[in-house]
Amino acid sequence: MIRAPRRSGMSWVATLRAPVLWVGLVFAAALLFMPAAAPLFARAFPGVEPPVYARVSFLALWLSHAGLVGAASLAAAVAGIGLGVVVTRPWGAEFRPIVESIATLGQAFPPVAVLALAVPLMGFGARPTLIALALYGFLPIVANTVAGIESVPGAVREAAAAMGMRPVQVLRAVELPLAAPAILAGLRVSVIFGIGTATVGSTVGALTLGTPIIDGLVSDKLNFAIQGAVLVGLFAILVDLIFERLAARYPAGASGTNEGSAARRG
Amino acid sequence: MIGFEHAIKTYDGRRAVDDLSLAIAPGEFCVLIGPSGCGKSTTLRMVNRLVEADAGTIRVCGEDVRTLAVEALRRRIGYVIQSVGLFPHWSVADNIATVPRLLGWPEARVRDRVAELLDLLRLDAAIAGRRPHLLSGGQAQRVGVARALAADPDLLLMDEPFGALDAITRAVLQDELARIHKATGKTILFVTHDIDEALRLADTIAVMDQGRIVQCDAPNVLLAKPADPLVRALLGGRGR
Repeated sequence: MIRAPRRSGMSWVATLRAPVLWVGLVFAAALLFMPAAAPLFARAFPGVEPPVYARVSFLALWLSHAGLVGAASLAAAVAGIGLGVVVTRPWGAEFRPIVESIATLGQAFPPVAVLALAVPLMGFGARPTLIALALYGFLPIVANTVAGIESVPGAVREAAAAMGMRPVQVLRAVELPLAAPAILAGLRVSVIFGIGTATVGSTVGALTLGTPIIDGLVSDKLNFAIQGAVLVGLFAILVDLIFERLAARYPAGASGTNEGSAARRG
Repeated sequence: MIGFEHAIKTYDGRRAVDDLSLAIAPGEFCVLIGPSGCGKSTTLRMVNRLVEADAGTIRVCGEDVRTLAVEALRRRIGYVIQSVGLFPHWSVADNIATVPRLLGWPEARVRDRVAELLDLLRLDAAIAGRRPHLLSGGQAQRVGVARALAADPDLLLMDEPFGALDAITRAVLQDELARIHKATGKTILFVTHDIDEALRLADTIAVMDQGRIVQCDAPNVLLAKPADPLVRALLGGRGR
């Protein structure tokens, strides 16, 4: 969700000029009114029937696609932020190499390979896709959570402890808010990759905007593939713009400091 | 107010603080001074248990600090460091209000206290809503001192608080601190490597070297009777 602009400078004119609004409108129109473009596709791909993919509505495909990415990203975020916090605690530091190895492994494994391994275990459909997406999306989130927490200046951390904050208060009031822009950036990468990667799930029967792409490639109907690809692309751009708006809520300097090093003396 | 009794802290087999004993009276302004690595910061940090002593006893108001809950102890002690360590995502007012809020003061009392401290540190009330990155170095350290004083602790620990400031700002803040010390009667333990700063502020100067106190005296006594070549070198010909 985008917060409604409240500052006087952000008038309705600025709202109208925001790219997120226009991309959103174009995406919604493409999603709902693709069949209206049938004559266009009929002319571009003569003899291919039907001109517009119609086995499942694009809206239903998108809802399923967004649901998959949302659920996988949520799982990746809970695990990624949670483990990122754990391995930056003094008592969790020894788990850090293991967590980082798992994250790198998840990223290094191509989602197709995860699907190929998961299908024999779980069968066709959405579930193997969900697993592949969650594994794939885990690394950017955990890596950015760790980097964000570690970027908190030593002097700030020391001051927080010296003021008498309990460790959990230091985490909640200081470390997480200061790490938030980095964590958000990790989520952004994870979700955008997920939107693209989810299309691969259609090879094992998950219903996504990749379904018309796969269908089109298999049955040599390029128009289907184009329709699916355009929608996936617009969806990804729209979500990226929404993340950009969220990131803009963290003003410059809010996480940086004008303070010197926290070197120990004496 | 503060008592060190045979305090020892060892890092990698080297004694950073070596059997140190020191008593600081209520209301006293005590300055620890010495070359880098002499253990003065470590000594200071043992008082609020940012560093735990390996052996010996450290008392605050007669109580062994190890017997107190560490958070409760720290909320009773103001702490100021050279790099200030203001919370960059909080306003000046929220920074100053840190400890009162941790102590659960009602919001109206917190607001009054913040206003009072802005006034005491001669900070313009207009900066209360500002983020720390918009402050000058001198303003930031004033806020740092205000934050340390917020819950009205009896005891203030200051680790080279003015070391990163330019000479003029440093002199102004030294005067402010002397004024605040006189006005509030706080006990202050202050670490520096600047002998002029020490002579200017201290009731008592403890000269440290290799984890031990070489001499601990009032500034005039130190100037008149340096006990040791190191103290004489530190004074660099002042006082005669």
